[in-house]
Amino acid sequence: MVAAPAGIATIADPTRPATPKTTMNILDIITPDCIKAPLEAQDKKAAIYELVDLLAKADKVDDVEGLRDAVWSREQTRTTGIGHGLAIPHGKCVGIPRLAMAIGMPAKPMDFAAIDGKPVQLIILLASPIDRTSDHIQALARISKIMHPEPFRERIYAAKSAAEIYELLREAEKAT
Amino acid sequence: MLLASTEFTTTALLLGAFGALLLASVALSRGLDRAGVPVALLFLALGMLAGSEGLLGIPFDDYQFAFRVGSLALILILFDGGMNTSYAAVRSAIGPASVLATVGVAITAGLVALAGRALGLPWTLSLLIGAAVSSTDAATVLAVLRGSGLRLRRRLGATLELESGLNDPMAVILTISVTDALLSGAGAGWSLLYLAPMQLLIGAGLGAGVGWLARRLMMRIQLRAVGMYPVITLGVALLAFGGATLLMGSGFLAVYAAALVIGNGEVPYAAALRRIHDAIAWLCQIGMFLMLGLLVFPSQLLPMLLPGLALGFFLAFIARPLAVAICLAPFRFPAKETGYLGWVGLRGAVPIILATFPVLADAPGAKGVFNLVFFTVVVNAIVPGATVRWVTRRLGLEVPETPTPSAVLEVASMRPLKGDLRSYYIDKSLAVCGASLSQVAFPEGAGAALVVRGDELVAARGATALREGDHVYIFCRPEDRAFIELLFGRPQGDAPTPEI
Repeated sequence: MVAAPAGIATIADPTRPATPKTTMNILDIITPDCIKAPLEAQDKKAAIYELVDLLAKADKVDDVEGLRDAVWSREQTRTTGIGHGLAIPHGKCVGIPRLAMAIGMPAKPMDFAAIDGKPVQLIILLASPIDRTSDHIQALARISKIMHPEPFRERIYAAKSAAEIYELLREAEKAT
Repeated sequence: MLLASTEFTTTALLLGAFGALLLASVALSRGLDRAGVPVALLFLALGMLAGSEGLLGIPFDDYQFAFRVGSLALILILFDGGMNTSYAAVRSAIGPASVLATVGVAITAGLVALAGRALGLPWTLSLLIGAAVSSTDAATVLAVLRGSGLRLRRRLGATLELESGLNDPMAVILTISVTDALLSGAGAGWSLLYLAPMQLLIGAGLGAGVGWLARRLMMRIQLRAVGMYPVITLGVALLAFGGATLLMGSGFLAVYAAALVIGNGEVPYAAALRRIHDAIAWLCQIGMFLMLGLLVFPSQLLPMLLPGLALGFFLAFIARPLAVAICLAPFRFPAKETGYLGWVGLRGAVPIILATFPVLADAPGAKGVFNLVFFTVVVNAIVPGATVRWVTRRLGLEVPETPTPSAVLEVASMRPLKGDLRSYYIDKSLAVCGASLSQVAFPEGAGAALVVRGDELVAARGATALREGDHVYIFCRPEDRAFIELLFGRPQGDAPTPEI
């Protein structure tokens, strides 16, 4: 029988890479024509496909099927519905010339198998070239940061049009 | 002196034989695992081989001992199952699982009773057999799937698992009621209609309450001896069972509910507790089947060959699939999932243990019922049992399972810590695949602790790049978990995202 110390940690000092300073501005990767409110899609897969099509229509994707597969494969590993009504599906694929983003607001809150079990009110899809891993991660971090304050989320979820969503994002970027 | 030394020798012989049987069970189980046959059959067969009509000739016909030890084993197996079931799984499957565990059990019992009657058995004995074989055992199915590296789709797996956690109480209630009716000569009566829900409610409520109190106790008292924590959880399992049963509730459901509450909350040394209960559950599983094998006399089984085969096939091909189809009709399961649940509702030890109950109560014809139930369970384990893996693949109901890391790193603490350490499998679809750790935007207070690459341990430095197939251990606080999962996907050990 061995008396236990208050906490036995089998790792003493986890190496923590410093949080990189991000200079990402999401207005560089989103354009008003890649925002749609409301979406026609009624379910998760259709919503992802609709957003990919939106990017294709704006000439931001060369390989629509490739991007659909990449985003859906990522979605299978774990839901990107990160809670509080937000989902950030994303994928890397060779058919993307540069980092691109599409935003969609479901007509009514959508089941996304989110980690908090709540339906999703805004879907932000991020597409990245294979070799832009760092930018891809920075963009995900930036979106999460902007969407973090609850008052901002409430305002963007209440937006009535694509133009209003874009304007809110512009304000948020300006404020930070 | 002579008596003492004889007793000592006998005890040593019995314990030695039991030890050898345990070792043989474990050693041989891998082979059976590969063949996709439920390992429980192996333990039963070894028990029969060791029994009075087998090679070792160990005499054993103590039904009371078997009933008590069997109940204890079931309690500990159920407790382990409850500890490993997440609230999310309960939420996703509680509706269909509850209907299957109550209405489904009653329908199965009724249909098997009809079949028994058609074979010429009296009504009461037919009902007794129906009641005894009416509950399923998910552990048998899941063990077969695990042996093949398969994992069922989330709602399907959760329904199967939760159903088998919830349906034992109903089978117990039915068996006891029919046995009482058999002894008193009266019918089982309408009292079942309110007794069953009442027992289930008392069991669930009391079990959840005991679990909640136990969790608070474990968080409050700080024991210096780490080994005392599993003693607490074992005590909780037994207390929940005993308390609920004495208060007219379902003891088995109370055990499951208590374990659910403990397993889904913060408790000291949670990972170690889980491992200990997993080991206990395996020991119980093997020990229980060995004992039930010992209890069977193969010569008495022979006359049961034809009715046993008939009931086993009827249960597998008609009773269970029909009961499942009726119960799942309101839940919009795809046809192939309904068919699958109907096919893989394997029976485990519960029916055999339940069949000892009428023997103990000296009910007329009870020994015949025991042998028939035993035979039915064995047939059921072989016929759908051996096809579980093939059917799962054929219907495409499995989800890809990520490989487990070759090294496990964990933080053990007697106090709840703010944050946890989890391992993540680097899939090529993840944002971080190909990135170096310095490129990963870790939140403040989060970081990588170790990278496991095949058999190699790689230091988690800024320049370390994450390759497809790596396992990376990430430490993070609860509030950052969502973002970490956005970057790194599903933590190892968590259930896959439900398919919608």
